Amino acid sequence: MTLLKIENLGVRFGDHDAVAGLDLSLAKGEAVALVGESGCGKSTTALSVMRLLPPAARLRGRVLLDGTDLLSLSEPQMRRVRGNRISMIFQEPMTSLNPVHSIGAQIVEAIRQHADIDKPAARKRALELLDMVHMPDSARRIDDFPHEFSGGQRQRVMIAMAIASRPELMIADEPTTALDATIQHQILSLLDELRRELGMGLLLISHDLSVVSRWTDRAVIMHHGQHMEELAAKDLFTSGHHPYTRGLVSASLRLDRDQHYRSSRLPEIRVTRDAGDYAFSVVRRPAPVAAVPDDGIALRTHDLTVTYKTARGPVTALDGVSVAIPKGGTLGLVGESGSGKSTLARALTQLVTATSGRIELDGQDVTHPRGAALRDLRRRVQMVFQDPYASLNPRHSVGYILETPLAVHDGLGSAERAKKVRQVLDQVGLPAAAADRMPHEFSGGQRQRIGIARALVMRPSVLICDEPVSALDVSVQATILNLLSDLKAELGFSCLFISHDLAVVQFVSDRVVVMRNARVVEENDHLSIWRRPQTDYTRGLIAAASG
Amino acid sequence: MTVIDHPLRARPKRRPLRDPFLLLPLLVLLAVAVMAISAPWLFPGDPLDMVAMPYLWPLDDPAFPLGTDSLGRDLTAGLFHGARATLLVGISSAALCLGFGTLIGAAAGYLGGRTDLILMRVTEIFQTMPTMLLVIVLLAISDPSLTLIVVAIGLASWPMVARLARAEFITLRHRDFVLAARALGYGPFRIVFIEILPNALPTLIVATSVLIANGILIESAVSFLNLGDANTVTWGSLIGAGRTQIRTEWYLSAIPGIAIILTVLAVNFLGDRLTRILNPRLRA
Amino acid sequence: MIRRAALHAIPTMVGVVIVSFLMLHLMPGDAVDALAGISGGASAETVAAMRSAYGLDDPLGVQLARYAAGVFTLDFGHSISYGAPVFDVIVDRLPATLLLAATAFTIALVIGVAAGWAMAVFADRWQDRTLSAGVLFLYSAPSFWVGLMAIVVFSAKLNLFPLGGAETIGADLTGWALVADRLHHLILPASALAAFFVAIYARLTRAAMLEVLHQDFIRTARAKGLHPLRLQFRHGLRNALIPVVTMAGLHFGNLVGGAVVVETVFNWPGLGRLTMGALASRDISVLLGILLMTSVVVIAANILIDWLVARLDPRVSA
Repeated sequence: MTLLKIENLGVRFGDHDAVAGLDLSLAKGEAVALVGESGCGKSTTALSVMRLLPPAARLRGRVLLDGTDLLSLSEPQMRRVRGNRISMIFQEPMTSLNPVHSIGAQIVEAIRQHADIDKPAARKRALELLDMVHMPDSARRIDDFPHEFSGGQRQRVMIAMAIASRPELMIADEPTTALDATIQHQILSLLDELRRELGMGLLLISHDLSVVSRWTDRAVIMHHGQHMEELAAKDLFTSGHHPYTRGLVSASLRLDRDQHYRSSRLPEIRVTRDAGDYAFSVVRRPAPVAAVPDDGIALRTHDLTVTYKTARGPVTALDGVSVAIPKGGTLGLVGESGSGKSTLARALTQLVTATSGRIELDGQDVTHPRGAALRDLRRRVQMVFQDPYASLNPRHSVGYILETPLAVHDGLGSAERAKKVRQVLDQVGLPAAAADRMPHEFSGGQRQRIGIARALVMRPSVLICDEPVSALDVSVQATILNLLSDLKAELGFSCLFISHDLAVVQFVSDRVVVMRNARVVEENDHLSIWRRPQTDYTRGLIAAASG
Repeated sequence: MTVIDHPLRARPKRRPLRDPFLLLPLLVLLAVAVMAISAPWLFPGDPLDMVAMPYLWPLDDPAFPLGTDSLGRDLTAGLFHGARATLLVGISSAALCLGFGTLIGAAAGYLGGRTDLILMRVTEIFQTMPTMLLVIVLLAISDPSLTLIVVAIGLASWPMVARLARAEFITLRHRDFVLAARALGYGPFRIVFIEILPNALPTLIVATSVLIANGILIESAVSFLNLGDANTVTWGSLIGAGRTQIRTEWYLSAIPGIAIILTVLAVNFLGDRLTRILNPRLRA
Repeated sequence: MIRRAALHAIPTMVGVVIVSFLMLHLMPGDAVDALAGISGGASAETVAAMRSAYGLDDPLGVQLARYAAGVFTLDFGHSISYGAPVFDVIVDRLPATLLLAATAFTIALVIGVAAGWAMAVFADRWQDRTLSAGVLFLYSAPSFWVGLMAIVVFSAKLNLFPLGGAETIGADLTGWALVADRLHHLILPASALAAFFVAIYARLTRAAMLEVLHQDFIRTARAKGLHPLRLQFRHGLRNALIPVVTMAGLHFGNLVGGAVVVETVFNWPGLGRLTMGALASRDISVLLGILLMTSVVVIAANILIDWLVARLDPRVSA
């Protein structure tokens, strides 16, 4: 029994086709995934089902809900569908709730919008809904405001609002992307439980192939607004036919695949465009032979503690952390948000000051360097940031961004600087012409290359990478990880690689440290830590990452 | 190895001067500037001198197109000479505010902590005292002159800029590119002036238009109240002088008022337009 | 909440006192010079004796302490030109100014927020463009000129409103007739004073509304199937009011300052006319008293605004 049928959907913004000729069907009680990378039109498709796109969007085709074309309904008629027959939850739980109304009031509003019941009855129903989404202590918390809840709890509130009218279809647009892996697992299993309980269809929008294969029945893969392939979710990793699907699957890292940068490179998707048609190919190449790291330690911390003073008293962001980055190798650092991993990166680069403990660079104490010692540390320890959009000054050209460190530290002449800039641009795979451009003229992946070039232009011996691929799409992530691996083989620097993604860390690291609540929980080599985890916390992380 | 996930995009072209909402206010301001510069040549005499019959209505006598006041002073001459004071006070008080306010705000926002607390306390003190009253008191304790008016307006209006600059610097100081600059070992001078300030500039440029507009409005009020230099003609003083005959010869107050409005309107229009051009978030 | 805001206000008030004391000292000549000038030709010995009697020979710190102590016991000194304690002279005129300022503030907030809401809802359509042009005009017009032109049109030509003053002199009205008469006198000056601030609040509301309407939670509310009006008010305007009210507090001081100018246009018997009188006789102690008293009013208004913002925004009190 078909619940939702999308026929030849087209969405146009100006002269740009965000979605073109998309077909999709979803049966009652079925879970279907729309999969693709950013800009592929998957969210636009979801929003056009809800008719929530901005007025500038031009829609074509049909969206049939139980045989009724939603695109032909009047706006008042459509309002009776939204939140009633179809409901939707979004990616950012932190901003998706109105900050000035209590969660109870917002759920009651959703209930009373589509049901003619009085306030006390609606409030009673809101409590039931909060219990259905397993909100702890719901009776006491119903009058609290959104800012008093964690991200996972807010997403539960969103789900409670979404199921208020027992919808036939729920659309979830990247519902767990902003959440930690363990919370992600809880929210997805809650959605699955409610789908079965209420018999509703689920349209899950996601970029995450493991999530899709674990939690949905069927997957539709999109690229550039077009339908690439549709297949059973369980077959996603094994029997995709379309080259784009195969490229996406092989570029995605999985914990059970044991890929490692010393032995291989990740397959990269090449997209070429010929007269409006895209052609895809997967490029695989071997890893260059790299020197095996010796036993030395490049950078190490002893009992490092960092406390911040805040309005609500001191907060310990690092609590007696001892880690060691092997010389020429990579130390992977895994942890969920708030574990202190970014603070460690900042302490090592002297962006925050250690409260106690020691930091040693090549055996020398660099805990509180000053003057020449600090300048020397800046040359030898550099950092790559997470957000490629925020980490480059939008007012400076790429050439200026790359040559300034050379001017500040080496006092080189402009010809010499330009030469080094060209060299480093070439090393990160950008043309020399990039030097004259401004950061906003580049894509996310290109910007991350610029960020890496800036960190490497002074030839540091240690590179601190703070979630350098978390903001990137899978296919771009693969190219950046390959680039970092190649550069490491070429330049021989040591690396601290921070990520919340276990599979990424497995690929890039020689040793791995797991952090939680400002402390180190566990440390081992990159294979043993996943095969023989010693703590329940690590086991939980592995379970969540396995989908 | 040259691998590019997307080819470099072509650059979009921008032609700001084709924008009528930018061009028109620019022309008005240019006209006011021409009036101010040409006044000594076109109207060489003292605009406070009696040159014709009193109470000539506009267009009555082609020699005095905007008419004359109760003492037979030429309103056209007054308007041209008044443009000088208006522009001078508007621009120099804005410059004063901008310099001082940005300095205080940048220091508070970038340094944070105790410095921020103290500087913001001082800002709050000046924001608490009503601007107009503070200007009046400052003018009362000394002999009024254009310089003093500029200083008084500057002293009374800088808190707005300080708050804006502080807010900008606080947000920008925590951005990754500033962290990157610190990690690269750039000195505080380079970080503040070369990394942060250019990013705060759009906000400050727009603030400048508000400051100029405010400066002109406050100056006009001051000279309307006859607190300015009695020997300098300004648009405000023309309105004040015409006030006693407001029921009959209302044009004496209306015309300089329209001049003020047109000038301030042009400044504000320019500011609004610049906001749109400089703020990429609004443009998208 | 109120207590915290009040405690916060104390150092600000101390700061205002210090600044006014410094301005008093920057003045060429002092109170004795002024007195001597008024009484005419006092001898050098008399002046010196008076100086030490008034404590003007004491170190600056001591004088500041004495001045501050005076201010905080509501002793602002003696007005030479009015022959009465400065505090009494000011308190006499304060209610009229407060009435004018409060009325203008209310008008500005109500009309400004309504206009800003409409501009945001119709953003970039002709309704928005028309309103924006009107608002920009008000934003660019000096309030005294708006007042003068209002007098020309509504009083001189149309005879709808009185030319000035706060009540009909010698009419001896009582009860509702008195209230109506007062209101009749209040409308023009309050509107002239409000004009500029209508523009400020309209622009603020428009910007804040547009910002809020792009937030994720608005999309959530639309996904619930809410009516656009409910969306605009309960979710849009309700959030936009937070920055608008906050900024309204910051502008209140300027509104009181603007009242001084508008009062002189309409012969309104408040602090504005007192200011002009004190200026004419160079009665600096009255001027500083006015500055101090209006600062107190602004601080009080800001405490009220802080309280209001805390009521509007649950994140503040936490």
